[in-house]
Amino acid sequence: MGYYDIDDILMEDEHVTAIARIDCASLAFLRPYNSTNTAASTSSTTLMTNEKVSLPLWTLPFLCFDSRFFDVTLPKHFSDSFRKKLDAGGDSFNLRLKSPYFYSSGFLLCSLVSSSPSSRRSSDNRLTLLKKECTLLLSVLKKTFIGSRLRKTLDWSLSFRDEDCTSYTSTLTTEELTLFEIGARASLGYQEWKRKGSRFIQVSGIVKSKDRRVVSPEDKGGDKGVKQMGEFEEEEGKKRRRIEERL
Amino acid sequence: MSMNFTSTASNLLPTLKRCTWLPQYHTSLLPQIYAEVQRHRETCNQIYTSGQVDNTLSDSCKPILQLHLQSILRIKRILLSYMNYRINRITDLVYESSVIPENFRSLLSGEERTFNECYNDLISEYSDSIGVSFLEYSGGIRGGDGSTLPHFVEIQVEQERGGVVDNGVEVGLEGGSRHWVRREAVEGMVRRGEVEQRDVEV
Repeated sequence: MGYYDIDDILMEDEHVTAIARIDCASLAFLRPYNSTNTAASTSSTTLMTNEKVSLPLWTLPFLCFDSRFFDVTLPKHFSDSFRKKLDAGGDSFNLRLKSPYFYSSGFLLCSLVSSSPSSRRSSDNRLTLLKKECTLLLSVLKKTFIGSRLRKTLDWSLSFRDEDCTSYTSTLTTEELTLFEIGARASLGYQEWKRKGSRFIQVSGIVKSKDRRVVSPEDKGGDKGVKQMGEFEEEEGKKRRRIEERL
Repeated sequence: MSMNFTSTASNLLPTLKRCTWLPQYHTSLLPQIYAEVQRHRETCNQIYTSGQVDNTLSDSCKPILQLHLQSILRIKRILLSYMNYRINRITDLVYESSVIPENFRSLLSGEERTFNECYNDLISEYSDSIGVSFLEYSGGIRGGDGSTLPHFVEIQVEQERGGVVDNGVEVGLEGGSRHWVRREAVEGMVRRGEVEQRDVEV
């Protein structure tokens, strides 16, 4: 995780459900558009206490944990029932459908909850329960990530050759997909090395995908003192014989 | 008002990952993002001024104020990530091809092109000062005594490319010719696609 990491920034745009603990002025726009909460006046701009809203992960530190304006609840894909299913055998699930950043968002939630300063107050029952849930969630996430899914991902990435494996990769989360791509690149590199040896110079990928640019001889100063073709052939022949003698 | 305060800036990032190199520099979106930051700033001032009760900010105003402030910081982070990603791709390109292909050049802003030229000059200057070329990889096989054995490759020249100097001897690269030259003399040209290495091992 890093400040400049694009995946981290995109991951923090994922939403979780939160409940307001106080009346919040000018936050009525956070209400879901199909909200049926009768306590709220539709013309009011104030979000009332106990209203449910959806907040992105990047707002949680200052809205839910540092200052207890909201209480956060875990998303459905981190709930107790889904955790038990994952614990039983997670390699058949399409985790990408649940969340493209399934692991990262889970780890972030767990770290925010555990490092929250308010969690040290034992009277805060809701947060204490949340902390217990996050402890269980953390162990399930770790077990799922390094378990049979990882083995299957590495197996696919090292052995897929030229086959179309999108039916498998479309079920992977972003983190698993990154591992898959690393394994696939390593596997392809190994195959290339076996076929052509480490001595074959690779053309830059950017040049391969575009038309070749024309470099005029003037750029290289090639016209100055260049000998005739016949003399080159003679010299090349001499060089080749020298090489053969050395070998 | 959008639920995601940083929705305009967030549009910058997904396109980065989808392109093979870089997308077109977003000259149209950036003024909108700057305007959004200004709006957040003005709103913060208004809330702070109007939310005062007995010289302290009322609790109900604190969440919205925090949201606006943190949105500004998040937009800053998004912009910096965007620039950082592009700059890294541009500097990586210097080592693959010292000249940016014309069709790639149009994807960059004026400042990025200037950065690329300055970076290229800096690397060349440093390479000259220490006598090692970073832009032309000088590979080779290490001998047992630590010396580097010369490694020869055969290249096929499709179009005339001037000439290269191989161990003090000038080798002309006429169109349709083939040559045995040292790897380090032509490695850069092969990587740029100017000549083609033939699949023959020595």
